[in-house]
Amino acid sequence: MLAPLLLLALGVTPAPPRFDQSGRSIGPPLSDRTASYVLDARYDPSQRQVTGTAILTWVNRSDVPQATLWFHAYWNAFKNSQSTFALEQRRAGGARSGTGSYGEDDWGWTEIRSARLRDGTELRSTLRWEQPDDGNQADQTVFTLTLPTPVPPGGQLTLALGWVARVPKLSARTGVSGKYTLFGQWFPKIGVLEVPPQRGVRAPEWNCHQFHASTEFYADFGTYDATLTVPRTMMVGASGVRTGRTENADGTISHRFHQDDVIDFAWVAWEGAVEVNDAFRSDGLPEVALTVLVPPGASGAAPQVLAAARATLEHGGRRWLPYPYPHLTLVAPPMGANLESGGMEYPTFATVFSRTHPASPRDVLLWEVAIHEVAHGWWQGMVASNEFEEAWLDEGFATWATTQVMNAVGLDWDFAQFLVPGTRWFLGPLLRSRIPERDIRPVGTAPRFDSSIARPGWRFKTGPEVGRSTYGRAAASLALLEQQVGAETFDRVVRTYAERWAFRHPSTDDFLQVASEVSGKDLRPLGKALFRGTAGLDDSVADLRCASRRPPSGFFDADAGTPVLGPPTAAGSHADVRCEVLVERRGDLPLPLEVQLTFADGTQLQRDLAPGELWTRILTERPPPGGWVTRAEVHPGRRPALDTSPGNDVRSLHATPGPALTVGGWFLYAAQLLGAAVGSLL
Amino acid sequence: MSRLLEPIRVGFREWRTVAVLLWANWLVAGLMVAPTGPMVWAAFGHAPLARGTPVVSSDLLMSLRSVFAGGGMPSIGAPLLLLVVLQTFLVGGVVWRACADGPFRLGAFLGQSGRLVGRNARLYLWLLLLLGMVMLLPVGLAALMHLLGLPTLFTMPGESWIFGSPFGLTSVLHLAVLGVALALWRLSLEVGRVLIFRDDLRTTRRAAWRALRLVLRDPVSLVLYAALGAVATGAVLVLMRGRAMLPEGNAGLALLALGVGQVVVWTRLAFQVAGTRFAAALVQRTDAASRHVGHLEERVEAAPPV
Repeated sequence: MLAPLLLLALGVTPAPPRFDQSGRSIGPPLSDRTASYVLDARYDPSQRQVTGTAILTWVNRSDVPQATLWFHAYWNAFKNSQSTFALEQRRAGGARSGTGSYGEDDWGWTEIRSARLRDGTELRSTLRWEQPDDGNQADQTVFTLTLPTPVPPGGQLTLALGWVARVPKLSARTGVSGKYTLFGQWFPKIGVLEVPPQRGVRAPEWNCHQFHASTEFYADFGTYDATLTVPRTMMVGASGVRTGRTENADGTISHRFHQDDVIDFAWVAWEGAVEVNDAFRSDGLPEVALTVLVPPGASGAAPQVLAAARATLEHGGRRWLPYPYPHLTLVAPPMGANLESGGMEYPTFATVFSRTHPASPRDVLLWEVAIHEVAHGWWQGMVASNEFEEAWLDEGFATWATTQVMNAVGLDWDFAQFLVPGTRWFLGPLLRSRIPERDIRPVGTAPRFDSSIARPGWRFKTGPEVGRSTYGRAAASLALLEQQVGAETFDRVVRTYAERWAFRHPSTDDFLQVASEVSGKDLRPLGKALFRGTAGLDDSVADLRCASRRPPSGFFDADAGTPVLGPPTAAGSHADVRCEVLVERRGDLPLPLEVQLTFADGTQLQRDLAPGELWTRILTERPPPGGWVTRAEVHPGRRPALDTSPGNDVRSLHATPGPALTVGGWFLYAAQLLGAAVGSLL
Repeated sequence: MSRLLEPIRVGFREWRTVAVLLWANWLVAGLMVAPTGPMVWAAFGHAPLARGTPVVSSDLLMSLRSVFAGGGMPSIGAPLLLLVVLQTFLVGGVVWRACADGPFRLGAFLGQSGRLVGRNARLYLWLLLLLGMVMLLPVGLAALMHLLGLPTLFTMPGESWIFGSPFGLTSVLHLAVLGVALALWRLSLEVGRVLIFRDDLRTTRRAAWRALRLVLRDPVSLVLYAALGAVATGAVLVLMRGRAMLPEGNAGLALLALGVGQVVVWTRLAFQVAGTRFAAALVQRTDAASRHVGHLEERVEAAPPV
């Protein structure tokens, strides 16, 4: 009662909540709730074992009876060195370290002990391991169960799955590291039965991929109610809202969480964590309770993580879609677990980074990751794309959104913040910088990329290429679309896309459809080239030179047709300045190319490069002194976001020794220091 | 304190010696960056967008990847090899200047360098063995500390450097042990060079052994030498910081920064000479002490029996 009065006194009027304080929706469901779970799990850290049951309620949304159900058993990716995850990690690398460093005790697995229908029929004997992506028989991350009676169209199935799992050593967003255990994709989970016209399928088909080294996840919306039992010494943070806490006689404690209309459920059990609570309150937006778990000794990170979360909830709530969930939990992992488990999104739960000595007042590393992961609350949490097949739809959007939020709060990268604590005050000037977020993730240097962006994660050549394509390049492609239609229109595109596809599963084509519809331009060809093609962009002014025009020399016909030495009388003024501008297009992206020449007298000339031309030479002849072309620029005043070499977009007639000397002098200085350092060892 | 200040004074007074070392440094650094010249000019020579921007910026640092996509990266290996040769050659002259009081003559400097280069190279190889041995101490200590769960800079998780603070009590103590071990090796090398020069020793193995014994017998000098290294590092960092605080953005400022950069490198090289001078003073003092002991022994022998 006091809180609303206090808010009123402060002049803040939040929007009506979409969920109550126990995570249950108020009014009609926000999603179709295809797959809902009641989870009951007990974690024994001394044995590194989880024993659980999952009561799944699944709805057959298709018009075809379903007798075979597909499930994920993600933790079997950590079962042995022959899993597809482990093999791909070794072959191509991935975003996280993988199982390469595992010792004998580090492996983890999931064993399905029972699968019982409501009438008691046991389906365990029908379990078959499937390998739909690569046929690797050793991989046990996907299985099927066959029902005695198919689930009819529109019918509902209730299935109780009993399982035991060994928690792997912390790797790729899940596992144990000391007193910290992160439970991501930890329970047997049903795949997605895609139904036409969902994501372009023509007939109902299961989308249930193996766990790959470079992919994340895909799931249907539903209701999650989880009871998690852990030793009393452990703190628990989880998706959803805490609805109960019961101390048991055996020294354990059971935490209960609930959340409607989410696609997943993750949690952390952590002995010694420090919990910090706060709330996001803003006029016209639903209130969100915030919880941050930080390691002891890094509590200074909590206020910054919370501030970043609030900034994202504010920006996203106003520009994309109001964040409807009542609670958000952020976990800043302990030392040694940041790189493996920090920076991962789950519905209403995300892992960020912790720093024992965050830079003040805003530590860009903490802020950037927190903003990115909270932004995933929209891009994948609500707009639930298929991360296996089109990872860019969540990672690219979240990266683009991170840039938007960081621009809104005026936050840039300062490399001085990476200096170790205690040295920043002294060595800070060596690395002091202000690099905008959009420039942090390079899109590559080649005018043609190795892979398209919108492709399954395991079909990229290397793991790092997945990251480059689905994060930086995808975000730059979105920014390029934004440039094409204007920021205001693109805001409407994004908002409409979020409104239309929240609590559903969009595809690349669905986004481009919305973008074209809202902008009034057919963006599908450009979007296809950006996301499904490999064309890059590097338009440049390759050369600019001017010279006073020389009079023609040699013999020219006189009036009577007789050759006479010397320029013809009708050759015009020989005092003109002749300038040549060479414009090159090294990428194949079909963007219009406008060239702007600026003359010494301030006048400007615009030219368009003919479509399909890879180069053009623009010649001008004007009288001096104003006839000198002092500057030539492609895409004037609007540097294309995807340009792999933006520095060559503008060229001046006169030399700019400043930048060249700055870079060259810095190189020489660095080389001198290297020489002096090596010399001191000799 | 005077044992520290005197070598530093000599290091900075020997400006001609430092100038020779700086010349070698320029040569090596120039060769390293020479391949980048055309690429840098092509990228930034007519780039009005990059005008007025500092090195660590989107327009310069962050665009270097595309600048060097077609080649032209700095060359590191071969110039560093040349540095090894040049430095091994020039240390003979540096030792001469650290031990002599007379005026600097380039011919004499190069003459001494040439005279001693072979022996200095052999001495260095012997001392590499010593380096391997002395490094067993910090390496073994790091392994032991790791087993005991005590962090060192070399055994802590990599992410401690970004997310935590690598400098705790145990890691700093281990770093100090490493510093002393390196100082032991380095001072032995310097002393060995001085002994070869002064006594015209031909057997470099013997010189290395004598140098090591001399250093081990004088732990105060070892600690002072380590302190000299710390002072040198601190001085260079202070100057680097000063250089980094200069504004950037045009040709004049770039040249100013380059000039201040020469002060940084000069200081580092002056401390190199100071280190050699420290070793020369150590040898001289040991000689004086030996002579004093010898003199006392002579007096004892000459005294009439009681």
